[in-house]
Amino acid sequence: MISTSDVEKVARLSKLEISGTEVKKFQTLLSEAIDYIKVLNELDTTDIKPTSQVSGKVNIFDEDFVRKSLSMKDVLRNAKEKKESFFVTKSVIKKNEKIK
Amino acid sequence: MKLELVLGLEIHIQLKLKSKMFCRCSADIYQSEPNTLTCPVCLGLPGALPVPNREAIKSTQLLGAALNCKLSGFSKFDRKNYFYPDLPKGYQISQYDLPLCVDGHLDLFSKRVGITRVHLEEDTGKSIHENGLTLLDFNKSGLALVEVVTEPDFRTSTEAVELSKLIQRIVRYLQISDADMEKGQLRLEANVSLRKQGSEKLPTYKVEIKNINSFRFLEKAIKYEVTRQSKLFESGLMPEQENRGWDDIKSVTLSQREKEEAHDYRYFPEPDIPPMEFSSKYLKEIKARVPELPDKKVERFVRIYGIGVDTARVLCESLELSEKFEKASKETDPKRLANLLVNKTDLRNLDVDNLLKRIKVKEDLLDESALKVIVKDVINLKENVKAIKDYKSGKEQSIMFLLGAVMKKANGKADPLLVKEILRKEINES
Amino acid sequence: MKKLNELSIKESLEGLKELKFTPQDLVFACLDEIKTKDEDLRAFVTLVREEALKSAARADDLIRELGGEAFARFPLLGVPYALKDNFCTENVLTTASSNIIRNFSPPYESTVSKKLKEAGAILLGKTNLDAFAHGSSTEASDFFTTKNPYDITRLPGGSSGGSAAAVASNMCIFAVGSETAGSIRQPAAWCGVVGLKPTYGRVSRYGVISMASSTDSPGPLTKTVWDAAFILNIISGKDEFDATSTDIDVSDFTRSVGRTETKLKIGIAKSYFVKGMDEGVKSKVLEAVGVLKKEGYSVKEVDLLDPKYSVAVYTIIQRSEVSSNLARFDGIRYGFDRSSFGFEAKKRIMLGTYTLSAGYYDQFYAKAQKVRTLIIEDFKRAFSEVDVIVGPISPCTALKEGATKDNAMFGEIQDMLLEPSSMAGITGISVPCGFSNGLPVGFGIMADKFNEEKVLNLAASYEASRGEL
Repeated sequence: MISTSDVEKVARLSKLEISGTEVKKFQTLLSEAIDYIKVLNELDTTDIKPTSQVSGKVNIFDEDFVRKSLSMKDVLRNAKEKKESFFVTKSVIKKNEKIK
Repeated sequence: MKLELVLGLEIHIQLKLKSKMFCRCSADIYQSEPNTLTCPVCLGLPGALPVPNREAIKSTQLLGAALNCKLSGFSKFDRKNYFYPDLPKGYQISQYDLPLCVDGHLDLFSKRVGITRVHLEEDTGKSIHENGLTLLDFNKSGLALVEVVTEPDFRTSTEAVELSKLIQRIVRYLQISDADMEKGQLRLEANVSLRKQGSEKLPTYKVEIKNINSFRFLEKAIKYEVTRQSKLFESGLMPEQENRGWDDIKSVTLSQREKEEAHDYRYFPEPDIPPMEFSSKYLKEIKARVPELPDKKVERFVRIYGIGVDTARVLCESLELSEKFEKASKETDPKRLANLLVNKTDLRNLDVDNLLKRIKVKEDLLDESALKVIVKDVINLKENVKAIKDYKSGKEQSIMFLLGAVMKKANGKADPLLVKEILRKEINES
Repeated sequence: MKKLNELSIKESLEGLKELKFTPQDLVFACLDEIKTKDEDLRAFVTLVREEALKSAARADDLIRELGGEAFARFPLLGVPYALKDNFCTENVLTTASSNIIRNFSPPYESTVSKKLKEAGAILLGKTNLDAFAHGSSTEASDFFTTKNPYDITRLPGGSSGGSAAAVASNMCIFAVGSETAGSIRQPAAWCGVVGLKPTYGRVSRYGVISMASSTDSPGPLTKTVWDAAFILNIISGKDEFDATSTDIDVSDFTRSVGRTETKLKIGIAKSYFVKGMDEGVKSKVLEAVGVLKKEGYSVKEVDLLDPKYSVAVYTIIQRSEVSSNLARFDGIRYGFDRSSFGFEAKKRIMLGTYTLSAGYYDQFYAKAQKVRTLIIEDFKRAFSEVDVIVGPISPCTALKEGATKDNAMFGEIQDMLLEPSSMAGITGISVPCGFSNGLPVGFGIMADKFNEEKVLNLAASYEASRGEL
């Protein structure tokens, strides 16, 4: 059974706010899912390469050329809050911030 | 207990390309109006997909080759997941365990520094904080960014500055970036720790210093950190593993304390971009494209042209200047040319033809001893006696008459200022 | 005499070309049907009546001006369709049936809808789905649940439930959906329509709100197999905006329909007739196999990995990719803040974050990627013995509303039989094969990557032999 502190940690990592009652619910649901997926341990995968791409392609690149960008109006049109030409959000104190 | 510095650098370089890393928005963002150079991809709109810029990959591999790295035959992009307002997708497309270049080195004057890796990623948007709000401009979001990570081989801040400057020079030589720090095209981060002097073991902690935007601040920040950490050791405490930001107004580093789990980036291979495979033929071609780099060029200039190391270093500061010098040297005395270019900075802006013209003029000029002879002759001429008398009695402009006479006799091949000097001397002595 | 909205694409185009009716007639017929039925069925999130009628008028002008030539230039001219609401449509509300972007108006068009527009198709509206395509019932829509046209107390399946219901109830001529693992084929089965999942990379994902980037496949939901092939012609092809899209060229998928020179070798996997499967579904599927045998097809048993492994693989990979793909929804550039996520989305994000997090990556994500390789090799081996593999699509028929609530892994277990093919990126189709207790049953046909021709060929052959349902 996954612990409540693990649930809370995962919620923080996912930037999701979980209410007290939800923590218990998630604890159950996540634990059930985790129990199910352990079925994979029945299969021997030593020396098996992982697949992260089923396209089977390699080296798909674009040449270095310029395409027209969206207009500022289109860029900002769905913003909840804007100020002149900027998006606006409440300040977050964080890491490598260029204060300028 | 004597302590020694264990220092490594992370250097970010914005590539000079026409378009961004994963979309074809223009990369020419300097002084652009906010949010006018974005598209669904670099804005992180739902449904948008990344397509890598071929030139960005080539540039990164070229830099890796210049840094003596092993160029990977197989590479891929990975997602680095974290939340921040200027990171529109909530993840940065970067490289994790299979970067484009690994295991290189650069030789400084005093030692060899290991280059752990050179990889490619995308830049974030720009945030401006004011009055409790954050303003966001996504023009910078998605620009191609190369990250160079060094081994913790530095033992002094001077070494770190030297390497940073060398990387800047190399990057400019390769013409893959302008690396202008004021425009944010070159960014430095230092990983600083201390350990007992003589110990071979890596320290158990490291402090990452961010927000350093000049070589001067790099030096200051490292020195400050060394002092700060030393004091902790002296008090019997161990410095905390953390991120700190350099505050250039207060000249201190400040803690940017975060929860430990914030560093869990949950890297996984980028499913929207197929992996990359490079043939040895292709990689050989990239390596062959690396031009003569600054340090090799300096060495060669000293050897072939017989000029001093310091002079050579100045000439090799920019690829353009060094090439100009070499081209012009074919037609004139390299030593003279070198000295002129070093001392007369305005001459550096001339193209090769005009440069040679200016030099020819100087070369044809009579030297001081030859001029002395002419001047003495001129002073002793009967027709010039009056002018000399006038000059001696205070008529300053009479010297111009004498100057004209000397220049005529010298067929114009004299430096007027030098002639005047010699005239004054000889007249005063006569 | 069929009503105009009951026509297939083929029949619509024939009628339009012969000037038996106009694009406006078609659009009006569909809009009327929507007016009559959608209040109960609730397949649509957004209708674009005005724009649809304008497009119809323009199509009408083109036909009058150019005659038959108009259809050479615009192969779908005048044919009305419905589009799943996770495809970005420029200036038309695109919500993914989620509260978090219930007000999102994209400033750009998905490649698929762009291609359909350029072919002359007429968009009627955006259809309901499980929010962000997380589900197999459409019950997880943040807005409302779509009903199954065969029984409105039951679910249409999902996540492309709205699209399936719209086609099944003839509110449109065809629809487009997307499949991450079952989201086209399963609702097609539950609603008694044809649903085609193309090979991964066959159809561009640009503009489709990502669920699991490594398996998402846009595809058609139609009334006939020929219709599905025709739509595939229009929407497939390499896209410069999608690095995972393919450049394997096929000129005309409809040519696979009706060819009977060589009979494809058919395989059937015992492991897909899972314990607890609906007996009625099982018998209908076996009946379909019988029809093919009678036509002279050889059917042999093939060994395939137990689908339960695919459920685990799919759950981990999908939820991991989902947790990352949904990180862009922070309410700053569009939409509302993350508290607006529905419960299913939160659940999937949480598990995905967990399986990717430090200390668990190797145990879950890395392991899942390795088993995925086993699944791919398993199919490769099977397809070296047979051309196609047939079997059931869903272990049951349409479930009643409320069936999916509070289930840790409803969607993933429900789609058990479809996840292997999705994880491997191969192609598959669901074709209606009858009814069980009055509810539709789907017959599944899968083929190796880029072998849609085989799938369509056998599906059409079966459809013809089966006759009217």
